[in-house]
Amino acid sequence: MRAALTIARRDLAGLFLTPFGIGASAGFVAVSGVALVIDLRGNQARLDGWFGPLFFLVGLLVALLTMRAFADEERAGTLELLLTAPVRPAEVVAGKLIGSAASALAIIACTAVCPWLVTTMAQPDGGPIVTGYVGLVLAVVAFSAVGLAVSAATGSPLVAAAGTAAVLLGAWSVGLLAASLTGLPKVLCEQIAPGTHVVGFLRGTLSLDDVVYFLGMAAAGVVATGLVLRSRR
Amino acid sequence: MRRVIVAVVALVVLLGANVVAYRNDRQIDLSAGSRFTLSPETRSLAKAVRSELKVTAFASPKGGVATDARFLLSRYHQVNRRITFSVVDPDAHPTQAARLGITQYATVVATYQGRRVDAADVDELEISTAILRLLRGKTRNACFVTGHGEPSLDDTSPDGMSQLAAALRHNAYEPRAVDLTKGDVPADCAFVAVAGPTDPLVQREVDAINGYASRAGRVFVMATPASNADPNPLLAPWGVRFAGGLVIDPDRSQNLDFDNVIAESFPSANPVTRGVSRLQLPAGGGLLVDAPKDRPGLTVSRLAESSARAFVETRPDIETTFDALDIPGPVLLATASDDSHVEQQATGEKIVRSRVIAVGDAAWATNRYLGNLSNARFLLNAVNWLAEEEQLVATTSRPANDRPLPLTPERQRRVLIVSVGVVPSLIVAAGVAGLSLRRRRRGRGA
Repeated sequence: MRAALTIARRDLAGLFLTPFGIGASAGFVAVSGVALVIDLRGNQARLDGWFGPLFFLVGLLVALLTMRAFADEERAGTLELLLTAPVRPAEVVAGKLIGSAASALAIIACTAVCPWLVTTMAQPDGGPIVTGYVGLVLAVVAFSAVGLAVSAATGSPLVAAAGTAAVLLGAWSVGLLAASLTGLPKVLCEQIAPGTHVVGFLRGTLSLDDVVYFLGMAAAGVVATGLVLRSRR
Repeated sequence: MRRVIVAVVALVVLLGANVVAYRNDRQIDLSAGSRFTLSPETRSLAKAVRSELKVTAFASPKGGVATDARFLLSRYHQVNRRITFSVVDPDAHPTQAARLGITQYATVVATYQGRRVDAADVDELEISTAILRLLRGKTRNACFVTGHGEPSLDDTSPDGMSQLAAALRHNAYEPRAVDLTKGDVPADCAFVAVAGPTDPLVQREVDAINGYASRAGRVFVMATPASNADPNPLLAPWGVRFAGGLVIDPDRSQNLDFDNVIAESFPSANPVTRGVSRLQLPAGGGLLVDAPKDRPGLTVSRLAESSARAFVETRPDIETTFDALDIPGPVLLATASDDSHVEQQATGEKIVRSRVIAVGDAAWATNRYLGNLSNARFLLNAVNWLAEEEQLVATTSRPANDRPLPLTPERQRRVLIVSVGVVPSLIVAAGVAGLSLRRRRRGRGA
């Protein structure tokens, strides 16, 4: 576990002490501020219209952060060193997941200024704010695991970022298909799409179905990353 | 091979966990008042639906009402897959809204086995009550006394009451004219309405209505000022007196039309005023509470009042300024009388309950005004209270989710300065400081 934490710490410092990391963080917080203004145009002190786009943007942010995990290491020629080091593959995957997720969560933590601003002007319902952030934490972990699997499968950071974004966008798009379907196909499409599982967090509920969905996605990503790394070793 | 087995096992476990969670979903509701958790009564009601029940909510996509509606209705669907729903923007689909006669946002239409019941709001209590009335499977008669110059229920002109009739039909009541000059009130009437007569009722009719009301009957009286009709023989036994005249309200009226009163004061906790924010009562007369002291079971609720500056002008055909002959405000505009007592019957003790609603005006329920403000909501609440259908589902009271925050230019500027200017700038400053510190350390190391 110590090895995993060392890898995570190195990735975390490596991100926030680069122009890319600084720019991505500042840009994400600025976009969340614009999203808040758009949400408040409904003249209601409710933040579901702000959290909703944030879930979507988090997918894109994670795609940018996880591209560095393995693909960037391969481009820099350090992946071989990492894979042949006396560290178990599980520790490598755990370290990379903790590093990527912690980076994204540190950026998301900066958006807390938005709910705080709303509370200075009105009395929003606190429940959806708590569950909104709980949902974002789960989504970050799940999306990061998917991003790691894509990053491990390619040697190009750009392809990794585009691949992760494509996978996540594809999953969101499946939810749009559900509107034109009925019966079991509709249920399946709804269950596959992250959008379906985000709604509860926006309304202030923590549902077993939604939590299991994101944890399951994280587990799938971790297993896929492990399998890809083993094949490359 | 081993990798393939691991992948397949992982996939099966993943799918299995999701299916189990989907079928046995549990939730913690942290929203204010747990408003997205269905009460046990609603859950058992939803389970009782045996064939397809379709719920259509007409809601504006702005402000989150539509998304809340979708989420709440999905809870009903989770309990029973036979309950299907759709949320429709009436502005985007005007023909669908027109076909179903929707005139206001947040109206819910529920249909089941060819019957339809409307709910006046997208909340659990309203929707569950509508479902329960659908499941009852019968339409009740709303009996209207006619023949005294009342607005016609078939008249689609602004002065007619065709919209009132439509609203009743959409709530499982069938409006029906009754002639009380030849007989008693039919036993299958859910209530009797005397809606805006301009000529007096004959004594035979008054006796029939009073006899019916005293035997656990339900009566809805809408008086007509400046007419020959006197509703007092119908109201007096229930502790209410029609003062006549014309209510003048300089503080709460439409534009400068001081007798076109807008009621905003609803002092009682009676369910008739639930969800009613403002009522438009044009050219109405005032009411007075005059409850006899020897009737302990009789309670009279003050449903709607004018502002304190209002008064009842007793000579509106001569002048409309307050003088010694007038009745000072606040003026009572609508009342609800409930007379309950226990009667010894052959089968044991039984509670006998009579209910009478009085409004000092009938124009509010005509086509011209019924769609204004909360008039339609008041009508349906009143009808449901008379028919004792106001508390079909005993759900706990939920706090309103209306949290107004007008986005003024100053507030917008503040949000943008802090979230788009200050915080990103601090991040950039901290990052640049960290980078230069790191370079300086590396420089020293070299």
